[in-house]
Amino acid sequence: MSDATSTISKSTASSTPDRLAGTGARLLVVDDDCMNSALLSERLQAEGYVVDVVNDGRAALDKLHEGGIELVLLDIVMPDMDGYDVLKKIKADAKLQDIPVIMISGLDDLNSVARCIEIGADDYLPKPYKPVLLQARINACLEKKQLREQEQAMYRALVESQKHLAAELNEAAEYVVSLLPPPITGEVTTEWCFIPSTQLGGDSFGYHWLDEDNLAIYLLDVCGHGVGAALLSISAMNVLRAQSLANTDFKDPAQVLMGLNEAFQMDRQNNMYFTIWYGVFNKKNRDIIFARGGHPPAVLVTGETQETSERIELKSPGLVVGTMSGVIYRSKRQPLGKFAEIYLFSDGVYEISNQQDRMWDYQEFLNSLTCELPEGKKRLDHIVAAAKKFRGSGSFEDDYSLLRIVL
Amino acid sequence: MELTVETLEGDIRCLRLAGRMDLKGTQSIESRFNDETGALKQSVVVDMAGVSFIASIGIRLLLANIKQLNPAGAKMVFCRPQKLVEDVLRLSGLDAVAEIATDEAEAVKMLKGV
Repeated sequence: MSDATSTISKSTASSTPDRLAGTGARLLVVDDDCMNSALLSERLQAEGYVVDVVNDGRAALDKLHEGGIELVLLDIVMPDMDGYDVLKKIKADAKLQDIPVIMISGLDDLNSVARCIEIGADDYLPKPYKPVLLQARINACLEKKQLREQEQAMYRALVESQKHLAAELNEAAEYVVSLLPPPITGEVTTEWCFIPSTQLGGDSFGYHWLDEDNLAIYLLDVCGHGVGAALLSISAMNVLRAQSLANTDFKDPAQVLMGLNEAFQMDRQNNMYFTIWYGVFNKKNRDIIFARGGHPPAVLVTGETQETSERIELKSPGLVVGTMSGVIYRSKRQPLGKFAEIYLFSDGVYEISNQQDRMWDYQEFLNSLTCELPEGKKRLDHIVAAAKKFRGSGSFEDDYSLLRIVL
Repeated sequence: MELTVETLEGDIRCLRLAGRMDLKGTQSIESRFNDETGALKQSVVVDMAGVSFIASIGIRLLLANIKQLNPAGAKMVFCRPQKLVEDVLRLSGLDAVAEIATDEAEAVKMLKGV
């Protein structure tokens, strides 16, 4: 952020002139009448301008291409290439078109002046010249040019800083995704879907073996989304990954939640809190012990076989994490049948509104976990497709995190 | 969102909320809600009947104020929440730190500890 800001202020400073608008500026006078151009040139030099003089249109274009000219005083009536043609060429040339042009004309030639203004001349000056008018018009044109340049420089700096920020956000988003565990197959099989609502989300989840029998499974959702939420989400997840809470047995979900609650009190976390579901699967006992901190219950589908399995919401009381110190969490135990799969998710998977402002029903979401699948369709793909279909769009208002683990 | 303050029988203050308590809605009442609840350190009934939706940001506002009331010996009692909103209040575990009443009379009783 500081880089971007300094770029803006630097460019603003560099395009702010250290002289009054006009004084010392380099002008080009184009007039086939040598007497006239000499007179004008003399006056302008007396006012402090640096003046180049040419006597026909082609020489004017050559001179402009050499660079350095800040404003052109262009006579309309000239043999060969007249002022109107020169002006057209200047305005059609990307390199020259930003140089202001003041047309010089006789008082009786206002129609030509109007034509020139139409195709991009900045102003006109009637002959004979009145010194006050001459200087006022030149200065006004130069000031306008400087302002335009400043504006362009600021715009470029803004675009640059936006690009820079977007790149940084992308990098952060990639980091968040890189922390999410790769799907595993074998005695435990996992798959997941993560669609952050903005580039950075407040959801994160994970699973890892605590020892050879116990697998920790968790999903957390920080209130809100965006950079702030993602930072808290990552901090909390890294604590779980590294098992770095003092005096905490990570096989005991209630202890883990109490530890997180004390470590992440919202008044020390920029007033943010999170909800979490944390469980530990024990493969020897074939059960799962879990605790909940204000998070939607995980849903277990279990039975002797898939056909005879039933859907159980793994609920337990528990306040959202980080709001009050000293909160007691309690673990609950759920035995598993031979067939068992568990779904962890954030509220973003069912609190979905469509364009008619109707909410998707939680029950409809639950049904999508166990309904019969269309031939060849995978479960998560089916659930996400159903949500997108209801939403009528490929993106969601809230982070969408859905994790399926076959135990 | 709309927020109106009334005094119920027995000098009990009641805040009536209406609208969607999402990010925008919550922000529109946040400072008044803080002034009328947590800052006063007085027990209060919060009538949720007109609230059709509550997001996590709304839960945060409620919790932040309950957190100010409870240590001062004051309570917040929620009254008549719609089903969807009540589910979220309970899901968030808010019912562990504040009671939920089905009507005003019950809410008043809860506040008086009857």
